Amino acid sequence: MSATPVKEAGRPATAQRAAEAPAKGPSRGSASANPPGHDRPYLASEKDLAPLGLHWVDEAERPARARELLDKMRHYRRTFQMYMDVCTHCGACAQQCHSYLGTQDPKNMPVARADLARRIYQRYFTWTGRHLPRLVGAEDLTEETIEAWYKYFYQCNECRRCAVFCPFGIDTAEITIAMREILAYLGLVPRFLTSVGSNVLRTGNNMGIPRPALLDTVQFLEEEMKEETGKDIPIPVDQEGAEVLYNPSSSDFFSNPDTLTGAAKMFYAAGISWTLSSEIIETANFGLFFSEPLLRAHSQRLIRSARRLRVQRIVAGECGHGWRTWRMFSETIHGQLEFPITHCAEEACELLRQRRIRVDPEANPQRVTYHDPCNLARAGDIIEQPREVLRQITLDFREMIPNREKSFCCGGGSGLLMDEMMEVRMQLGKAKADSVRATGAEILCAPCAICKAQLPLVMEHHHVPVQVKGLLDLLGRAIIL
Amino acid sequence: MPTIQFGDVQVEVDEDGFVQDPKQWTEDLARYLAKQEEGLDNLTEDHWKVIHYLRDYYQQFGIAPMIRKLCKDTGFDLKYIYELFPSGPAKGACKLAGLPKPTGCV
Amino acid sequence: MVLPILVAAAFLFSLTALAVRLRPALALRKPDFSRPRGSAAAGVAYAYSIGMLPWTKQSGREHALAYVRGALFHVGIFLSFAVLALTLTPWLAGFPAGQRTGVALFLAVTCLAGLLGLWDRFRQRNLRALSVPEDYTAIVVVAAFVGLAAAAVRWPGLTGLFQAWSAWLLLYLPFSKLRHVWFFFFMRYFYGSHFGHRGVLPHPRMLEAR
Ligand code: SF4
Ligand code: SF4
Repeated sequence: MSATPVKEAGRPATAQRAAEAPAKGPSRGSASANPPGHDRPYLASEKDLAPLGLHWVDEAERPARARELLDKMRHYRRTFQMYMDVCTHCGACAQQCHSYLGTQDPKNMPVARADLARRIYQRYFTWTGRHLPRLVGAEDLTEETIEAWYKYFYQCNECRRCAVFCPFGIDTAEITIAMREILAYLGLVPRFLTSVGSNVLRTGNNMGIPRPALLDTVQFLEEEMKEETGKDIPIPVDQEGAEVLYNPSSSDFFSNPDTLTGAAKMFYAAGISWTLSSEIIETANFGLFFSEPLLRAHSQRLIRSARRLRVQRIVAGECGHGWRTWRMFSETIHGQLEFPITHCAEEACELLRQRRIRVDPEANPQRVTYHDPCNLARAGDIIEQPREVLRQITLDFREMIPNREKSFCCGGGSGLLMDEMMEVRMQLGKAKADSVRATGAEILCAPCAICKAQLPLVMEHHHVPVQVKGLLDLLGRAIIL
Repeated sequence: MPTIQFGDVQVEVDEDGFVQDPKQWTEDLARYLAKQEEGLDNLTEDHWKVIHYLRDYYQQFGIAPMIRKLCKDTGFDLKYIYELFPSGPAKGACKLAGLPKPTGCV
Repeated sequence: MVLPILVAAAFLFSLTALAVRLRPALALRKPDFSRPRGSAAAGVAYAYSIGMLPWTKQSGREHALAYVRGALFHVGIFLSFAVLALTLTPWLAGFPAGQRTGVALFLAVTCLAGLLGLWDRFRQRNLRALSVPEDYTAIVVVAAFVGLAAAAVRWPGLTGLFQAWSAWLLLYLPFSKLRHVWFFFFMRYFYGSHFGHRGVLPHPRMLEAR
């Protein structure tokens, strides 16, 4: 049997050009222009973009279009405009960004990243930039600019650690969010993100799990729990009138089943009626990473489900940015909600305080340390609750340094989980690996699906012998049923 | 999209070598991908067991099974699956079985 | 008499230009309807107090030095503005010579701290890489302002020169990164209320020194 790889066929002209001159302009998702292990994600094709209502903008029109979009953006977000105006290039943020620390690429200093937009902003929208561009470093917007945007705004994890250290509180993550949105309207989106986005619109979860598969998996896990505990612990689906709508991460149905069974055990032990909704089994809202309309659509799905099932509250599963999105954006999008949105870590914490669940720390005798997912610690007040839980369900809990609002990102934040970015991802994870190594922990607790996908690879790469587990995974082991 | 010329059919694959249309999958294609993508010269009975299990599940449910279910139903532990498919169940086995690449937080 | 009027006019111009620059951003307020996780007011209080202390911002000795240097320079700048205001009144001459020399010496030190910042910018790879010409000129203009303030305090004959330079500084300010003098207070407010509302800062733990 003979098989020979052949060259591309039938790609649009823009893609052809990109493939011929890979160094110029973002390429268009072709294998030849995208050697593995390179520094930017594969681009989505026109076909990948379509379900999200996005389109390619022709290369020749891109700079002009980008300028229009930038103008729109500065009139749309106050933070964006203020961040553009206020930075003094003091450099305080530089050493605080794991992306810069790991890649040592000066363009990854938060200030330099923001400057990729700021120089253009100055050039077109400020008096000094228009008349004395050289003085303030203002630059014309060209195809090279857009190429740099695509590269460096996709080497930022939107972790907002820089914001904590900047004297002005400039949150470069906000700038990255805005600039990725602009890139999306130029048709420049990583294929990984469009694949997740279209899965969500189709099935209500990032992996694209259809309802029958969900039911099959749930049944499998119920059997597993029966085998393990001898008890009938249900994982209800679409149960109207339940007290809690639990919104897990869809990766719990693929690679992190213990997180889901941990939740099931917790609700079972506390006697709380709960349900999943087959319409949405996804806390991770990737819309935050490149598309506000997608963010809204995802959010609408959740709120619609909760109303249809008439639940009393939504409990968010183990996901960082999802929590930020649900807890902090939902009511701005939908208006006042008749039910609260809480996080599984605070549920667990509250149940332990009320002694509605009992635990045996002997079940987790290993040394455990806790990784603060960026969006829990820096965007959503889930800081002490997981620690309170961990102190009760483990025997040897150690803080890592830095922690809480100063914690380093795992390096996968903002959806940087694409395989083609592996080399960069490992560099982005270096700062975290160093903090974990110093604790000597055997278990690294990271209650976020992205962290759970990224950290095992990072730890292996940097030779830190540690197992990565969710908070509910450990709770599930310790809980007395 | 890159394509591979395979016999007299053209098979579309993505940048990571995942077959775009699962219907184009054949056992010969699996053998070819095994060599090309995973560096496996021949596929043993155990390989085929995993591959066929994945394909059957995919045909029934339209998605790859949970990894733990795959292990349980084939009777292979995760370590052994990594021995069979060096890139692992998602990026290795699914690819050879012609399933789309699992995406999301994985 | 011309110079004081010029300074006042420059000051008004500066203020107006900054207000015009800031207005569209302030007008862009988007309501946040999410139920608070913490207190926005506490966040603001934090942002203006503990949040500005060196150990909540920086780490390591090198950073601590940079912090002290920067803080000193900024104290000097604010003091120089006070001196500028005083030169517009008859009171400055009333201070005893000893006090005036003391103030002048302190201002000279802060001016030096500013110039050291310039040196840092040249010397450090990071800072050099991210600097634009304006980052250097702004320091020079402001350090000269502080230096002249020191001189004017010590030698009242130089007051005219100081005032002229101040007028120029005030005119230059809205067009340069120096606008942060004004934006700073808004930024701290937004930063504090945002993180406060979300229950991130201040955190009970932060009150414990590490
Ligand atoms: S948000 Fe995080 S990754 Fe992005 S620039 Fe700031 S510190 Fe770096
Ligand atoms: S710390 Fe803030 S002001 Fe300083 S360079 Fe960084 S973003 Fe700019």
